[in-house]
Amino acid sequence: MTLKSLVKSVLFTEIMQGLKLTFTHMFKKKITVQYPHQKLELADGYRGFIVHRRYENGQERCVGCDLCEAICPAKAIRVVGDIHPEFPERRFAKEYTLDFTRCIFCGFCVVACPVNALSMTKEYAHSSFTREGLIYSKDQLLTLGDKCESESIAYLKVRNMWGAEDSGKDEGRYHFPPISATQSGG
Amino acid sequence: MDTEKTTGVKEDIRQKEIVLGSLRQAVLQNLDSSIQTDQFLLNMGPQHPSTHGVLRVLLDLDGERIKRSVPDLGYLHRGTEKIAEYRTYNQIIPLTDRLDYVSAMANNYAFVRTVEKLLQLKVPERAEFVRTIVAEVQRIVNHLFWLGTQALDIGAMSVFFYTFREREELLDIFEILCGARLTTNYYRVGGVESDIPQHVVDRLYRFIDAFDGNIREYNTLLETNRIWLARTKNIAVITAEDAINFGLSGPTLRGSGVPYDLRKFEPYGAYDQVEFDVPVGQNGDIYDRYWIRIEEMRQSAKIVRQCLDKLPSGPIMTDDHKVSFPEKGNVMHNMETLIHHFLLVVHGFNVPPGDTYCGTETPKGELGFYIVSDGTGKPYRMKIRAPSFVNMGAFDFMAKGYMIADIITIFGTYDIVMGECDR
Ligand code: SF4
Ligand code: SF4
Repeated sequence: MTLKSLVKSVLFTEIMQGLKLTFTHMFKKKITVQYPHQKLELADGYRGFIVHRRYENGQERCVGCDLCEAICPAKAIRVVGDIHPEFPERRFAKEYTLDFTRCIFCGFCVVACPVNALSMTKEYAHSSFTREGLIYSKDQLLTLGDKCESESIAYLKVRNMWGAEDSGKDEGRYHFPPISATQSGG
Repeated sequence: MDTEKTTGVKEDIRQKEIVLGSLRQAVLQNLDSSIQTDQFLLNMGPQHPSTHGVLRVLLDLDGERIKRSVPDLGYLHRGTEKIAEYRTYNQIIPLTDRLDYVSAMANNYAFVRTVEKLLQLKVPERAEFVRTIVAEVQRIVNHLFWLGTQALDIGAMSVFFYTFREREELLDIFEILCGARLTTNYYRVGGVESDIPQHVVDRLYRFIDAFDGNIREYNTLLETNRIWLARTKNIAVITAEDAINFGLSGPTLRGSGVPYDLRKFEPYGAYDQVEFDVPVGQNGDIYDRYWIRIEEMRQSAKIVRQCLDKLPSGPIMTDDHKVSFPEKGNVMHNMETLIHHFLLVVHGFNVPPGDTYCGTETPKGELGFYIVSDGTGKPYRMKIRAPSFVNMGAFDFMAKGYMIADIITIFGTYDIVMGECDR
């Protein structure tokens, strides 16, 4: 053992250096966030709770097509489609339940929905004392959607699923351009 | 009738006791009788703060020395391979997030590469670069997490805070990219889900510029610290030959001096267009593997910088619409596209019949997927070669003869994650 390493091992130099680093950090800016009082700004594309959306006139968008149920990898969605009681040419979801205890927040249902009836929000802190409390019906999802409308629109924009809205004035229907203007689809 | 049944059951139990007793006898005979210490079996886990998940180990102890250790796996088994047989290829991507939940992006990458190999699909260049950047960022995240927890296991608390400060910044970037921090679901067959925006590119540059200084901070705390050295030097030594025979991969193998890295051996993504070194160790002990992971973080930062410099413009998703979802605008206004969209959602895309294996260098080692396709939209069989599981095979060998306090360090050195080990 050389003299230098002997002095080092007696004086605990490497431990002192570590302590010095820790002490200098005491005077630096704090990075801890005091969570319930202080909240982080989430990104627009954050995959939080799923909501149902409406058209501007208050009509619900969902047409009960079952696509979200088909793509859900966790089998969290259940849809029962039916003919709309008021408008016989239109379909809607007679029953719609989304089980947030099963949902893994993958975002596929939003991709699958052909009428942008679903979107995701920055809500994440919903909790319940019972399991049933986290199984949301369509009405609950619509209420949540009304509350977080701007967030759900921001999500669709960031995920490149907006843009289709502008020409689709016919509520609840697809807008089909005349045959001659139809490009051969994807 | 009833008595017959009970006698049968009793006989069964007796038989089992005989088998267990003989096992125990064999264990006891194995112990070295010349040392006069207490010999006993110790059950560790599955609920133990340091076993990195739900891992149970049976330890055969001679005093404080480990004579034999039997890992008992399967507490986190969720049947991912079986579930995958009932899901379309797209639906499996979020399932792979849950394998190695510390580095979900790397799992996604390994899976989509295998499907692309079956489909023989070309991925656009920008997508390849974005994938490489994200995979390397994930490697940094994983190694930061490993360093923090390994130091915490040994007793150095403050390293944990510093590594998690950097990890937080990177997870924020993931959140912007894909909307989630851990269960990312970002890679798609044929590309990635969303583009990397300019402000994220700037943030990544800023992070990498400061990262070297951060690594120096961790090293100040650990590199020469005598407690750290005493706990890691010459512990869990494995020679190169043994490491290869046990099928180890990743930093655990490279610590023994074998420069095996799939990014160099079979370059994928944009790895053939960037320069980086593969660090290897000499002694094959825990300290060498620590050093390798630190050095890998530096190399990853280097790769990310080169990729950001070269990032080409262009699409991030293949234009083969057999596999990629059509644009929402087209779906809403175009009947054929709508029908196609329905087909893709409900049935998925068909993959030609055949089978393939494809290994990817994830932070933990070689993660491989073996998929057998029967030509439909769902895999006929999917097998996952998880690095944590294979590395676990060498556990008994590596722990033999060391102290009981080293067990925790040896868990840590594999960087084991039970989600991947038990699948
Ligand atoms: S986010 Fe994923 S898991 Fe949740 S309901 Fe939608 S498709 Fe199902
Ligand atoms: S939410 Fe969308 S995908 Fe699901 S049933 Fe309604 S319209 Fe169809």
